[in-house]
Amino acid sequence: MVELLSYKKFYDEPLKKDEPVSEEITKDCYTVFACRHKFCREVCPVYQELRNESYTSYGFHAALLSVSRGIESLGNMKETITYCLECGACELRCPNTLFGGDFYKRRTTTVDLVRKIRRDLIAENEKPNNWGEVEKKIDQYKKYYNSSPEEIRQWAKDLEIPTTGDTILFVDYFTAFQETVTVRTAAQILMKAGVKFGVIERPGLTLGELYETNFDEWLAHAKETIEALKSAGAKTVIVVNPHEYVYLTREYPKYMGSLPFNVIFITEYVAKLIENKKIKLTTEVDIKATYHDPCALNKFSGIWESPRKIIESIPGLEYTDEDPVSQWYNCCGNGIASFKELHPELSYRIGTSRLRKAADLGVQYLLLGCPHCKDQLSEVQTKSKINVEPIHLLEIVAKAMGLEV
Amino acid sequence: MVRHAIIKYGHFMVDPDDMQDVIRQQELNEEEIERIVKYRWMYLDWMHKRFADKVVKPPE
Repeated sequence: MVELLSYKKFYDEPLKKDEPVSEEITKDCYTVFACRHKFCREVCPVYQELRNESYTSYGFHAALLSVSRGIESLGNMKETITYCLECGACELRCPNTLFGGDFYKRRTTTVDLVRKIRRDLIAENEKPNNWGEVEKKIDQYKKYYNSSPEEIRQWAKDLEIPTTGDTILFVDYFTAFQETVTVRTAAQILMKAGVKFGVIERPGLTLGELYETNFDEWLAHAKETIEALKSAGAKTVIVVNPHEYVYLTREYPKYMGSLPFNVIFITEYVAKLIENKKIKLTTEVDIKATYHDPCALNKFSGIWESPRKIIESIPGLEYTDEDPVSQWYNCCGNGIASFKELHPELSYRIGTSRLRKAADLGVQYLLLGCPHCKDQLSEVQTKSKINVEPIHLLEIVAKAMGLEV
Repeated sequence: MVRHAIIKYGHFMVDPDDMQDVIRQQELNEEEIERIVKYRWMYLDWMHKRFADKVVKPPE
């Protein structure tokens, strides 16, 4: 059972414009403000582009500390706090986490703080520029959620997948409606490997934008998802989208306790199927490729070995590795929630930097483990014409299995 | 500096009594603690590979 619990309950108390910042949050900000190392800067993909210290973990904590001391007002943080991808690099690289988190049982939690401040500012009607784009996205996903079961399962129309089973493939609305190739490929791989699985009819919304906008609504959707998975008889839930994996393993247990089923990411599952010879990779895939570690897997979930095991077992593939620690510095530019809607140009710049790093390795393909990375980097590649093609790792696995996808 | 350390989940950890007055501990489960430890070793190994050209022995 994977459950990575890191929870500061005092973040649940909302910040309000005309009320003092609580003592606990003030002390929390001091633990980062007191640091002179500022390792959070160099590892931050936004800082690498803009070189503005205000948009770092140090900057966010210092800004809130200045609010607590009456030097600044909370409303003035509304633009600053949008300059975070929520990739998790800063909080992982922070010595409070990396060198003291386990010893003191207290770590830096910048992403939770950023989400909290964004949510509290929206509740206070302090909306940043471009916030309309975020609201549009939330409305679009609500339309997906209210679609008919046939529309929600359109991606699998000819695959005949049941709606119940011990093993459930969790399909969120992004992969069901937008990046459908990834989940369709995953389903076809599992079917060829002889795995019996189902897909629930209508999950709740798992959207990050909703999480940092309206917590109660997001939680109601989370409960609905868990109930739907329980009703379907799930004992094992296979997740294709790393963002949803983070919600299921890190966020839901904070508010709902341990989940009544095991959650496993698709690359972990497929790597085991390859090891147990349930998947046979027989077709040569003659390409030169490297792998991009998605933030949600590499920085949040500790998953970097299984994608590399899979890549190593693909015949014909010439692989150049960039190690996972070096990739703490990377992000595709999409971010975990609202970043791309709020800063499309900056998102593009971060994406081009990532593709250029891959191009410098002399490869043709950038293998991905996340449908959001694929969506973002495909868009960046089309616009920038950088000569590296982003492709999901599962599509290469399918080719090596001789599957037509 | 901590006054007392204990061993929990196989790792050294500050005595929780020492974390009551100034900064309190948060909820961190065993898996998250193991993850931090694993990342630390990875990071130290990464630093060592990149920046260390020799290992200095302690004085006799």
